[in-house]
Amino acid sequence: MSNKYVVVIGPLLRPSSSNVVFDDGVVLVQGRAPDDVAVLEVEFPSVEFLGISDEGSRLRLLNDLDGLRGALLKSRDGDLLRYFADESLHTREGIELTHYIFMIGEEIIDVITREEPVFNVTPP
Amino acid sequence: MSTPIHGGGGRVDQDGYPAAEAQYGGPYLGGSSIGSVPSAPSMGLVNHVTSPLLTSIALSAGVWFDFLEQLSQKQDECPIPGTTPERRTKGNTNIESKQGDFDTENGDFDALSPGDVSDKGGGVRVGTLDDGRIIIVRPVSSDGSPTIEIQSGSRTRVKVRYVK
Repeated sequence: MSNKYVVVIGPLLRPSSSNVVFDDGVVLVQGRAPDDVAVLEVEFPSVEFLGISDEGSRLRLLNDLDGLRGALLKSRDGDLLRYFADESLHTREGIELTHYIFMIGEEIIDVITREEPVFNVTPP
Repeated sequence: MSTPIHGGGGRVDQDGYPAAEAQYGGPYLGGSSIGSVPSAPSMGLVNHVTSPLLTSIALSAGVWFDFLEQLSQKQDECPIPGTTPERRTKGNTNIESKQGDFDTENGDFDALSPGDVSDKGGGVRVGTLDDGRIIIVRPVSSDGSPTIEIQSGSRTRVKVRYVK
């Protein structure tokens, strides 16, 4: 069991879908209910990294989560953070980065940021 | 006579063509004029020649469109019996569900007798179906359900979630 991941928001009702907008450095991620209404909005004032992939191509992460599931998880110690540190030649050391992982619909959305996001969740 | 589409000050002769067109015997696309619409008599010959050609091209396009649509529908077909359609994403993933668990999905995978099966460890196996599509059986997915995924060469994808 890995304890490096924390569930921030529990799973959305199935089938859900995701919508991601990158606007001049600001990222807005929406989780949408079956009727396409946004039930979850998370805005990142700035991001260091943004990635979107089909969940079927993230089998190592899904294994690593060891059954932990949610619409949004976060981690301060994971493979992607290590990759990001290597890719930036460790020029971001000293900055506390968080890896947010959205699991909405068929996609996994990765956001690495140094800032706290703003949440807007509609109760079911 | 002709009707200029666009003119930006080029010299126009008495028939309405820019001077260069009159000289070379046809619409002139250079300079400040981008062309003209010839009058009806000269269009007759053009239509006579181009209409069958255009019809032929349109028919060919229609045949190709139908063929590609049929191909897409085939690639999108779920070869696993007993599944229920759930939804189709805008990105063209066809999501289906079936009652069962990891053993059920492994049984379904084996029943399709895929070739070139490769064991990736952790319960993940990849093979190739008779029609060339790639089939992947895995015990995990983002919603926790064991899933069989079928990928075609195009962006079309089928996922079957095994739910209890």
